[in-house]
Amino acid sequence: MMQEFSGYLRENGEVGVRNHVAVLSAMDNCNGIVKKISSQVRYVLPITVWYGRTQYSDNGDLTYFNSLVGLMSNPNIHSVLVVSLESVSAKKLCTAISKKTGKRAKYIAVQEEGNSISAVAKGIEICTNLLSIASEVKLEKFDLSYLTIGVECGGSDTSSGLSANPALGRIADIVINAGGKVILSETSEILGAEHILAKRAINDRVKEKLLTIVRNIEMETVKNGINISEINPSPDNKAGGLTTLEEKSLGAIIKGGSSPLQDVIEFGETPKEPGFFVMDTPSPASESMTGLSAGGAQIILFATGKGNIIGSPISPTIKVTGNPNTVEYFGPNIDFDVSSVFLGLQTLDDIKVDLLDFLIKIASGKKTRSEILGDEEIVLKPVPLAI
Amino acid sequence: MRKAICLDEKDNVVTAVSIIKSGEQILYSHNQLNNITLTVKDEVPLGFKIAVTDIRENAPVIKYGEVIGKTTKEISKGSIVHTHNLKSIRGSKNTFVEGGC
Repeated sequence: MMQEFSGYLRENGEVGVRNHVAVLSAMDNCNGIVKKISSQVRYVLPITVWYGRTQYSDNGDLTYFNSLVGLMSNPNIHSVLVVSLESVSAKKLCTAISKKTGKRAKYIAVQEEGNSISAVAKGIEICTNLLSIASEVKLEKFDLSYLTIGVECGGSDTSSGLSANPALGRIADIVINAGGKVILSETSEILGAEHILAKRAINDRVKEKLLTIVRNIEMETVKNGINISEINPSPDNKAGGLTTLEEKSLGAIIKGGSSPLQDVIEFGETPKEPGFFVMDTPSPASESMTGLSAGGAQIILFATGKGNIIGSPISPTIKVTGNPNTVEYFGPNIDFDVSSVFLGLQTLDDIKVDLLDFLIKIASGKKTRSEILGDEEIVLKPVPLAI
Repeated sequence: MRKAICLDEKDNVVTAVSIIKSGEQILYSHNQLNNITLTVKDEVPLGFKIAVTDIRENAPVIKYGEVIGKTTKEISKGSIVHTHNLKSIRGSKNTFVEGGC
């Protein structure tokens, strides 16, 4: 039977599983205004940032700028209000978002509005109009080929590699077989398992890209006098029985499934064709998921062991655990329980249909626990030379 | 209900899926391996690894059929394998000196 979800068709042919009007800080000094606007208008999605003030140079590293454009281009966002101190950066962002997606991107610049109070008033007015337009978009049925799924793990323990990550891997294979895209991230948590992913690369170029991003992380930490295996696994990983980074990585990569590796993409980059991709991101979940959302993931499947609460505000984040203790104590933060697989009571094939059904429900509007509880964050690092 | 899971025939550790008492005899299986008996020497928390053979000092520990690190001391069959007797091979200066990938 063909699986379908109810989504929102966008101007560029992509499909959102949510229909947000986003209010974005272009730089951290506007976070207060974004928060005030979102407290006055129902249903807007506030996205605040740290840094940003020196990140709009034409000659500099564009990672920060491109990441914001990527986040706002995510098909879960219907339209955007950018809030900036000055208008030059705001216009750049709006132009890039509209050019990439065709969606409405408006801005307010505090210095143009006169002061922060009038900026808030103008922001409320713009958001009211955008929300009115967004509410006209009708839900339609789409097959799984329209989905880009990010696979993530956090607060891992040994149950993750034995149950939750393999469960995610099964879903990854199903989505890819249906013509969709899956992105695996967290480069340092490939370290020790890169030879397995490398074998799945579609050609030598992709294989070398994968080995290079992992080697770079390892060399950079050694060069800086950091022993990565002493900080990763983290204390909670170790309390959950994970001993070494190799062990954690071997369990972590299973969540990407078994499809050929199409390409290795940069932080926040959008996969160009269907299939399985690795995105080069930091390993902490908030940063990694920010990259996945900027790369167009409409949904993130998140395996946890000891429990990690965080989700992406843009991409509904489904928490899956196989640890029976976590199911009991962390229950309100868990969306899907696969402890029966960990305990040997059910197989992955037994539970994959239910997990896929659950994913389709979330794609069709059912809220995840982190959406309901608001445990969501966007985390963008400034580019290294943040002068 | 099973008490431990073995992931690959080559593995020299299994993972506890419940608390196991010191002295308890458990069974584990994997494909061709059927109901192998193991006497567990330590109190084992859920999720921790247990050696299924004696492992020499400085020898590889295998899980998922892959090397997850090296022992820092000899480990006897039935004992917990964790940070007190196993460490990562990767991410240190030695990785590059030894020509690791």
